[in-house]
Amino acid sequence: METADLARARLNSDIALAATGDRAAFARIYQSTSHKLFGIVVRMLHDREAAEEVLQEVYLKIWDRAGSFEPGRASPITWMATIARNSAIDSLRRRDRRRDEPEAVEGAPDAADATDPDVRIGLVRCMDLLDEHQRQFIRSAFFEGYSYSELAHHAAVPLGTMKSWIRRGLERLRYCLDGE
Amino acid sequence: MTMGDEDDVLAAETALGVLEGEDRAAAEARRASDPAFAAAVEAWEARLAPFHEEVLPVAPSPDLWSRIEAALPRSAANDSRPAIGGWRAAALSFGGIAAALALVLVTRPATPPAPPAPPAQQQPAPAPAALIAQLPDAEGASMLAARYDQGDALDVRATAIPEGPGEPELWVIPADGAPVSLGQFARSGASRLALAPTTRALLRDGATLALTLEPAEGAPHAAPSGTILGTARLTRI
Repeated sequence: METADLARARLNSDIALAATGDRAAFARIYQSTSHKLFGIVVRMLHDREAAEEVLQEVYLKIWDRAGSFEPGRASPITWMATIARNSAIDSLRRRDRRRDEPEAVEGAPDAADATDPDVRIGLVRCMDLLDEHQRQFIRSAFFEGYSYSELAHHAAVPLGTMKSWIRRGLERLRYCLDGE
Repeated sequence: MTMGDEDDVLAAETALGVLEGEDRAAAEARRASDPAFAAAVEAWEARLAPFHEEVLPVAPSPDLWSRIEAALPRSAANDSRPAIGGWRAAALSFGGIAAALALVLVTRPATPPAPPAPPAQQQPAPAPAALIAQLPDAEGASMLAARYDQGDALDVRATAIPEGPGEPELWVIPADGAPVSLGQFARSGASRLALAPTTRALLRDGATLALTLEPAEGAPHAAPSGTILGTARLTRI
């Protein structure tokens, strides 16, 4: 099993190759990342078929944007995961799903496509400092892609209350993370 | 332009994706036109990125790749690539190929990667039929196969358990719950894991299996401490 550093270096070089139109490199990118990105999208959409449509868009964006990826600014998997998540949110905002119940989003550890472990521990630790509802709704927003009004609806609180919970949570999070 | 607290909160909301309607459209428009704001959104995306590690990988349908490949622009190399052209493409391509070759020399696995795992099935009804799962590692190569014939034991065959401290331990992750240990097993060959009745109930079509390496002492453990090396869904056959 190769180390996370090597996997990352390989992904960086495949993205650079894909930017020149190398389809074989792009196929390797797909093979090593599609399960992860699909995991992100299907968890937000709760629908395999819709999630596969979004995943297709995601990889076409990755193909189009490969030339603008800067390895110094973000890890390749973070760059791709962010494209996947934003695409899933775009899809969610095009439809109404207030009838769905939000699931309790428990943490589950995951495979070796790691961000820096210290960075991860930082986020976990700072999330622990938030109030229960701040933590819960920030996680629901991140993992399930819920909007302010969807979260307010499910929590049966006024929209303004939900906004202020999450905003204050995000402010505390930044203060904690940037203070490290 | 400097970011005030107000603007940074808006950047955070944009990265988290909670905005909707006109607020969302306005934030996206600002992101496209205001580099300082775009940088603030990107900084928030980076702050939140470690969450992505908590998401369990799920295999899409095996034919999705061919659909994506078919949707790529026809002639890829020179025409429709806006960002890079001419000598820069050549230089990047050359450097990239050299880097890729160097990596392949270093890391080439002994066997070619296995084809993508079969799609996870999501039929809810548990029927008295065999359930199987094949766990790929990060490269897609099979680490182990598991088969459950609805009895009081799970059959496991280890093919290529990654090197590392500890012994392989298999977990089942119920739809909304924490991982439950199915026990440890031999690093190579076939093993049979005896199952408690409560654990058996968790082995249903669509349930996720996960592999970690754990200390031999104290197994089966209450919760995984090692990195999850791979996951797969149980599929009815």
